[in-house]
Amino acid sequence: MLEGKLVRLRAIEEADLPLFHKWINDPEVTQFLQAYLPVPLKNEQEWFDKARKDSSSVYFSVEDKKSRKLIGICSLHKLHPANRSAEFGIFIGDTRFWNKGYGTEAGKLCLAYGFDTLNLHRVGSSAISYNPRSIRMHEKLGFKKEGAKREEIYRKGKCWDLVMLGLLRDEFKR
Amino acid sequence: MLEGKLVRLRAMEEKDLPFFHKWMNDPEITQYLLKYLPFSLKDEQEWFDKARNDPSRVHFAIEDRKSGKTIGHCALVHIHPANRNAEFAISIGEKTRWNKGAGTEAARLLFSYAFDTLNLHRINSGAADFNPRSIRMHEKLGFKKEGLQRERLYRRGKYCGLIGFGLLRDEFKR
Repeated sequence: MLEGKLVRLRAIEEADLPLFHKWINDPEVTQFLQAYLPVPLKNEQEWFDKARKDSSSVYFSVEDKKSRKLIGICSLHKLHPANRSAEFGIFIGDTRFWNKGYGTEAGKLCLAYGFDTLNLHRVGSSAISYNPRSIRMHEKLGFKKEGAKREEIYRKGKCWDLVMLGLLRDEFKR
Repeated sequence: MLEGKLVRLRAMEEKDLPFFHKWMNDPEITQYLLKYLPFSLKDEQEWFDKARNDPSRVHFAIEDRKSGKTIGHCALVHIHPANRNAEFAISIGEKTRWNKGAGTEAARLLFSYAFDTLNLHRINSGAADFNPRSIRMHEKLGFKKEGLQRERLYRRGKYCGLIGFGLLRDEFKR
């Protein structure tokens, strides 16, 4: 359990799946993610059973501290034991909690765990170019833009760049 | 079967596995790849059985045209149906064929297949920053350097960068 001021990170639980399932099928949420296909609840269940046993990934459910309600998920995945690197992923599925610092704080707790407990050296991430909110959040956490994969993502009828972000341990803004 | 002047690309076969197995355990070769753990012949067999049944990737064995010998392997992996992109991988395991254009020609055949048959829009690739031979090859084929993941790989006792390359359909130097 990782406690912040606004949010708390805890293990993902089976009881979270109905909300994850709702969010991962919500275009308002998925427009900013790599997910774009309809996801049956059964796939969500399989994802959960795989995820909780996968030693190369760590997932946290993000809870609003006040109401104790589930509002999103964040993760470090593709943990690499020799490179000491991982990929960061996050989304706040409950859109009422957007733009209020909940995602940034969840990111901060998750990355602190990555560096201080998992002993990572570097965390990589990315954001689609039409998502300045995400890019801003990454920069607030200390991520640096390391490049862009041109026309990498096809969404909304056209190709968009994928902005590549990287955070070294010493650059993390706690 | 894709025919060039120096090499031919064909489906990889079970008989190639002893060669792949030897190469994937040779540090002189794997220093440039993401691989770093010892890899058994059985792992190789399982990889082959998975790879040949996976529609999100296309693997080719590279044959020397003159001798008919297997000299390497190339592939497009993570083929994405909506984004129309894929990740490029190549290795010339037969070291006597390094620096003689076999790899560049194999890649050229593979990319013609990627753009003209698979209808891809973009190809992703990467090279360790200490591998100028690979960087040159990418540039010869039309790839543009799109970024640098700083300190992304741990090799030879220290962290080094991973250069990100991208090739759009119109930029491919045939």
